[in-house]
Amino acid sequence: MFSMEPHLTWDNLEKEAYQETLQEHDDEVALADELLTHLVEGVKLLQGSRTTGAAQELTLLVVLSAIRSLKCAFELAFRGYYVEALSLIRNAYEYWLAGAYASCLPNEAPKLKRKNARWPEPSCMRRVVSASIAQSRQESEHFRHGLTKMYGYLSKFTHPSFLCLGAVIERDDRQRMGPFFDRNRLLISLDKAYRTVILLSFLLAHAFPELERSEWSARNDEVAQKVNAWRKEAVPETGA
Amino acid sequence: MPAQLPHGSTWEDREHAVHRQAWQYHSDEIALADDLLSHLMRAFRELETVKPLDDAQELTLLLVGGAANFLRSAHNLALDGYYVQALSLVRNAYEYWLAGTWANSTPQDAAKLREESADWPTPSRMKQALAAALAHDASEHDSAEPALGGIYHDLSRFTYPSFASVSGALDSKGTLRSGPFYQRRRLLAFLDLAYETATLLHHLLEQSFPSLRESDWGRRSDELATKVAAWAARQAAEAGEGGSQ
Repeated sequence: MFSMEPHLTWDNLEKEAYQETLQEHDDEVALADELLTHLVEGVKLLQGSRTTGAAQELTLLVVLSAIRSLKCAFELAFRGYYVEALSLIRNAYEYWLAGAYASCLPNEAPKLKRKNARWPEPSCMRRVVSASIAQSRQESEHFRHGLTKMYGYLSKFTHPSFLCLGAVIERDDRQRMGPFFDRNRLLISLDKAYRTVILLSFLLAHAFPELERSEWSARNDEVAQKVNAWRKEAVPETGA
Repeated sequence: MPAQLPHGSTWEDREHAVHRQAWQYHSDEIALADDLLSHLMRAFRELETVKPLDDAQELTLLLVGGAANFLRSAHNLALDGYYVQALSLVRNAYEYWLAGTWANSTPQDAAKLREESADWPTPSRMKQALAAALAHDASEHDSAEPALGGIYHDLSRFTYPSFASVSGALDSKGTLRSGPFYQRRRLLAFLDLAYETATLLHHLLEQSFPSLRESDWGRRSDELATKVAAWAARQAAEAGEGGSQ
């Protein structure tokens, strides 16, 4: 069964969803703003400094691309476009993965910056990154499993799937075109976006030693703790 | 490569500035995109009284509803200067159209695809199957599959990390920019692919619901398709003039 009331327009539906989001989740909206501001501040601190190699240049490019994707994802999620937001969060997550890969294998970075470069498959990047972070084979497997799980979950929103189609159906089982507020989907979207911001913050600090020594880097831990505390309180279990 | 970062203006200020520029230079084109999206919404109203729906029709509506949401989101982002993100979302909409067209060509599978455990075919498998279904002979098949894959391939460059996707943060001088900025070429690329995908979705609805084809909605679809074709022809002519100068 589906419905489309005549008075509903795209603009009206977006406004309704946004108002409900602000009414019920103003803390989460503020946290999203705080996290993105923190990330942008990190990039701003690099203004005027010279990058020292292709890996740093590439990291800056992917971090800025990821910031844009996350900014868009937050705006969409606040307006009831959750599947669309999660699809862009996957892009941001993949930018992070590419940046982490370039940090682990800096000699690869010049190749990746070429116009027609073929970037490695995400599974290859996950393998390299987890092996590089881990101190043991077991730990590496554990990291890789975590990275794959998050990527796999986000990918469910990039291609047609049961989860995507469910977002076109309201709680009362009516199918409806246009966005509408859904608490669970909002929290899941924000959870994935917040976590991606944290990953990007640590990548930035790791890639630029001047940041790692700054107060900004110390704030990374505070921000991560804040997100973890929020997750324990608010986030429904998704298995990713 | 020092980054060019904001001085005094907020991110939102710059989104508004890009938005104003988009309307200033492309008001007719944006209005056409709005019309194409509103037309999709009107189809849902038209179909409200059509009952019962078979499995393939139900699935088509779900996919078109999802695709329309992707297109509308993309439209909002493109007007604010987030072209790479917008193009990435158009790819999702195109894939939904591909899935809907595929489901219509194999209606016996439509109910299964709505199940939680459903294993959806990959885009390449759907393209192959559709090319085979659409072609009358081997030579048509040879051209149909690349045509279906061409748009998808173009759009996929903006979904994964690549030079095309990360260069959205570089302006025409190669300077790194943190926030959105107006780029005519990218906005036109977005409009071109968004128009095409919206038109494909209109066709899909007409195929799945023949009553739409005979209604005012169907006539309006034709008008919009004519406008899109005229716009594409003007773009091609301008590109030809630019290339010959």
